[in-house]
Amino acid sequence: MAESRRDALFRVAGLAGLALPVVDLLGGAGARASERLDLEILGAALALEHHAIAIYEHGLERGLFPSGLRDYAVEFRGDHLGHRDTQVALMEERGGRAPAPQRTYHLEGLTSAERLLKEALTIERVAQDAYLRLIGNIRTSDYQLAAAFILVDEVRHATVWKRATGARIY
Amino acid sequence: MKVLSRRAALRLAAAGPALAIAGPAVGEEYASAAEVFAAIDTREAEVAARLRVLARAVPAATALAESVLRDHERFRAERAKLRRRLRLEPAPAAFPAPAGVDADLQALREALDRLVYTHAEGLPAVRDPHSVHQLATHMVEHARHLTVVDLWLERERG
Repeated sequence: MAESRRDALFRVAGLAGLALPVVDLLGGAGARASERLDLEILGAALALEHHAIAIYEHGLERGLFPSGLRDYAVEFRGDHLGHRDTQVALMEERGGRAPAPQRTYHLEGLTSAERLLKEALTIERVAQDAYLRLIGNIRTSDYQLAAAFILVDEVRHATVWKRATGARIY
Repeated sequence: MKVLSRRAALRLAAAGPALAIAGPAVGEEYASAAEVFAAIDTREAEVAARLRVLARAVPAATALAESVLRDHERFRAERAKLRRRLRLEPAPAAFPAPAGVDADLQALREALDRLVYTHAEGLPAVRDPHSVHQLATHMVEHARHLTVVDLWLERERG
């Protein structure tokens, strides 16, 4: 059975070891905006960015992206690197410590273009859903604005991979 | 009018104090939710006008235009609820069509880009988590429309 978007969100959140308040927010719970919550959201977002970068690097290093889509993969990896750097800067400015990437993301099973594109679409949808669910709870204007710009990038990525996998985009 | 691309704005934030991203160099700054809603209404009306003209001139654009205009109708209804929630004045019943609209895909792309930016830059002025979430949801759909037009332009350029 195909994995639902919600299941994918919680699978990736589980892999990333997100802080409990953020997992609750992703599940639809409310929370009072605070500096601490901002830091936890930043940590969660960074975990997703690390995961996305790992998927693109896995595919690019192994030549798994079809030639007509490789330029998109390079562009999107660059976007995620930018998102990571932005959020590391925001986190450190607030005195937080940015989480490092996981040692492994268990991507060994991504051995074909089809599986890779499906996983790239999944991580982009998860990122889109996560930023969308969290953005209203961000307290500080600068981070909310950065998150909005990042969210727009995630939508572009997901839409391109949707089309590449043959799904309707409008 | 924005003076920095989204990517440049993110690089700026990564390179320096985070406040730089919210500074005036990035683009519009909104002082209130009322300003944000008014700007969204105006920009959305421009996108709608351009889509209608494009669909009349290019039959292949009809399905996209109909789909996007249906989304706009839903967004207007949802914004009307948000205006009531935030105790703002209702939106004007109609917006004057922008002058000189032609069937130009690139101009439509630029209008969509402005609409997406208006949402992104406006969110911090809204200050109500529910309304921010709702407007961000609309922004996601506008960003999807923008990407569809981008892909169409890329295909036309070969």
